[in-house]
Amino acid sequence: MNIWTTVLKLVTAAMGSLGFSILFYLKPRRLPLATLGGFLSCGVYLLVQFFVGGELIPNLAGAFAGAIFSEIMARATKAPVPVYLLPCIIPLVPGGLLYRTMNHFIRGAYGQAGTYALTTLAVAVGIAGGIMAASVIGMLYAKVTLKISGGRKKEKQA
Amino acid sequence: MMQNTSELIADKEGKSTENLVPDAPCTKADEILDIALDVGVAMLECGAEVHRVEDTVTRICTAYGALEIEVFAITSVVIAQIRMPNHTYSSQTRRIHRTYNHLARLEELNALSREICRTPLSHDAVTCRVENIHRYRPVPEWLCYVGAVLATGGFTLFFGGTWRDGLVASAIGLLMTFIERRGKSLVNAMAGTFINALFAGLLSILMVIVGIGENADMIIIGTIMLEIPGISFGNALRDLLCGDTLAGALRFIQAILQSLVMAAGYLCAMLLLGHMAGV
Repeated sequence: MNIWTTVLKLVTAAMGSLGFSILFYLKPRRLPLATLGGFLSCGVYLLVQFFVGGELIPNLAGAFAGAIFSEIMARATKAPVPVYLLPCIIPLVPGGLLYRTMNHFIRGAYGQAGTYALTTLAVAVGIAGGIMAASVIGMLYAKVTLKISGGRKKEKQA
Repeated sequence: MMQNTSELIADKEGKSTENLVPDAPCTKADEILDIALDVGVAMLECGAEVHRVEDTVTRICTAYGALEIEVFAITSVVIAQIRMPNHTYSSQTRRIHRTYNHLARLEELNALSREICRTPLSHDAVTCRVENIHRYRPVPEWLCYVGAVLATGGFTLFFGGTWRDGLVASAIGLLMTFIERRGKSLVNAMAGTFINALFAGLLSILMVIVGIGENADMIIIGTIMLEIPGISFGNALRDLLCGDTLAGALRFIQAILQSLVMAAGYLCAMLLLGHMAGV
């Protein structure tokens, strides 16, 4: 993939995240971080896809990065996690795959439609797995260090 | 003498209302559970996760001194029972009819619940605060159209459309949002999704036939992003994996149904006009 397509993808993913943040009624002062989150999860997704390929692992990694980002930012800014998590995940939602599934379905190419449907499911499982892993880490972290402000820097470095 | 008695009554009334002044936290089981459920249900309506709602209700009841707290929440109903130290019980059920994503309200409710847990408030004070949050609008209404334009245009480009496709998708996204806002009360959610999807699909293909857009598929993909229940799908899987099996299963079925209805809308559009634009 050439560099310009990648840059375009990152910028438009951030744009889409911003758009959905507004549609989800985020408070205006949360918008910059939410947009950054969408940019980050899309970036990780593209990076992992470049090195590993496929759909499951890149989406897992992207969702995990986005969810960890949301957990950290939610604690740092005293907001509930979904405020950042939803905008972060939006660029990973498999709209294109779903469209291809439908498209092959009406053309009667059921084999390919099935393949795309399963790929869509793999993406969904990947996203859910990534979010879950991050939220488990978030819960463990909160239990281990009840006093959060002291330990926040450590997690950022790690 | 007359005056005296009326004074006495006034005095009595003064005293009896004194017990209800906003600063006194409530102690009745019914009132406590009512407060907790007000906050919890409002959170669920704004798109909170099930375990967050159960957690909030439990915390608030604990803050008021309830001993045994049983809460069960799924996306459409919350059931809760508490027992107070003086052996009074209360159990209440609330039905949730419509949920939507309103993260600013969720944030306010979260802050309110934290505040209640720190210093328990009176029943009226909490009810009033929840009412205010129900009316809370952080941004003017027109801004959501900007959001729709950014979202549909952005994702059309993201999936590989040209800038002309992006513009067409933005315009369609604008119209879809307008229809959704205006027609929300006219039809139920599923029918609304179908109509919106059909409309978006037809417009996308028409725009390509007319020659304004270039790739009908890219425009459709961009507008699909507005209707796709991706978030509730992700939430459903997470609920399932985290142990809230029933809530997860319900949300999962809901998301699947909504995607099928949405797909049906787009499919109809493609069957009607698709052969003219090579979709």
